Amino acid sequence: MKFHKFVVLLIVFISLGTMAARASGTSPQEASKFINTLANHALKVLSAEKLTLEEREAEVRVLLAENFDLPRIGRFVLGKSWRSASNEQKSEYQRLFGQYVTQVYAKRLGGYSGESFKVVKSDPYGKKDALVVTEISRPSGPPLKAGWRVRNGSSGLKILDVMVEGVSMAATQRSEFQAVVNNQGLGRLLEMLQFKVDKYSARGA
Amino acid sequence: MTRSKCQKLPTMVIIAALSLVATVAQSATPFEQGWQAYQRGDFKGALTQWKPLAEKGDSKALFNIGVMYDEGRGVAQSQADAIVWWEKAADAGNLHAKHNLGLAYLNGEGVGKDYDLAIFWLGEAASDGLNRSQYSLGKIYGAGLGNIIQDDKVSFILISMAAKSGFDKAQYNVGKMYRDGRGVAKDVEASARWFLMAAKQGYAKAQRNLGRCYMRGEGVKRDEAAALMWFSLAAKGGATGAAKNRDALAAKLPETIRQKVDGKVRNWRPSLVRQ
Repeated sequence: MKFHKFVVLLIVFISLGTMAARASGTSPQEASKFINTLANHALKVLSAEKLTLEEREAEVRVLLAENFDLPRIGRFVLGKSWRSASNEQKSEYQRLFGQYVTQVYAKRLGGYSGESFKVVKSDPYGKKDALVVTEISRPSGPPLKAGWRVRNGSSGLKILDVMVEGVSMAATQRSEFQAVVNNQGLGRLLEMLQFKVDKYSARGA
Repeated sequence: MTRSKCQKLPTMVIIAALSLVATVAQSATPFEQGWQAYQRGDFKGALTQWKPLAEKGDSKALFNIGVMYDEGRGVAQSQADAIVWWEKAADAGNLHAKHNLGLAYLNGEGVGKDYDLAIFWLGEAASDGLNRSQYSLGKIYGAGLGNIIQDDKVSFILISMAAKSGFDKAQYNVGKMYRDGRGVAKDVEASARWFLMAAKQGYAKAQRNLGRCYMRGEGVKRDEAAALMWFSLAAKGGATGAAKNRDALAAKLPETIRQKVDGKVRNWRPSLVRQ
């Protein structure tokens, strides 16, 4: 009897899992495969010994631009100010935002080379997305855990957000950017983004 | 030379070459060893090399450690700590630290927002010839940020200085200022010349604007093939509206011209252009 109860519960559990995955619109398995392929590609670029760190990061920036849904993230981060922005402001904002975000992430990833990477789990996230949790083991320091929110949209699988320690990077940027827009206007945010990407990085000579 | 001596020669050459490589590696200064570690992604190793130098006041080591704090490389990210290192580097005369400090004060990153200090540090680096600082300061005057009274003429002078040294973004902006007659008398020929300089360096927005110049014959002789080439390059670089312009123009031009332009676009490479 107990065995039958266990089997029934198991079937219900598996069915619920499948239903949740279908309802999400993004298969957690496909999302997991997507992140795994992307991470392996990025780690391969990052461990290319013939390239300088700057060159490796430039390649990662291209990779990120191709695999992040930057227009959607940009719109989310700007919040309600997006609707009141002129077409020229929207276009300039998206250009600068993409440049800024890929620069930040490429620099965060830039130091990794030869580390082991694994997908810990992949689950449905909300109605449309999947959340892929990954772990990068490093020779020194604790492993780096991150959650990648993936959506299967009209242009295929794309990353919508990165969660570090459970904190959404898009939400963090949204509150930072909106504080600037509310206090000083969209023009000031555009200038700020421009200045952010013009900072000098480490120099060899 | 005997046969055995001939056989030994390549081995001797290899040994000599290896010794030379070893000597060069050994002769790298601690700063260079830190830079090599940094390039490998061994940021802790870079810090080990640079910290003793920084303690002795080496401005490059002080600056780079500041960057490591700013970007969270090998250390926990802290913009406030970055400021501490950059201030030391700036006091030791490092121009890049002065520039980054200026931007930090401008955006309030790691410090309270302070336009006076932003302008002070950017002004220091700009007057010593750092083109990005000249450009940033020019943009501040153009927008009239903080206590600065908006002044297009000063903005034009500063951005021109950066443009002349070869900074593509500044060249593009000078092109726009000539086109719009902002801070300088309107001059469509000068505008096209500056767009061309930035376009040749691969600056996508300048390529798009240059395409428009060729399409309308503004400041240059009307040339639809040239316009198509610059629109195509601009579209590849992601400039807004360039793909639309390219497609509209391509639809009007004969196949032979389109193919010729395609070949030019495929073989096109950016180059450094100074005035």
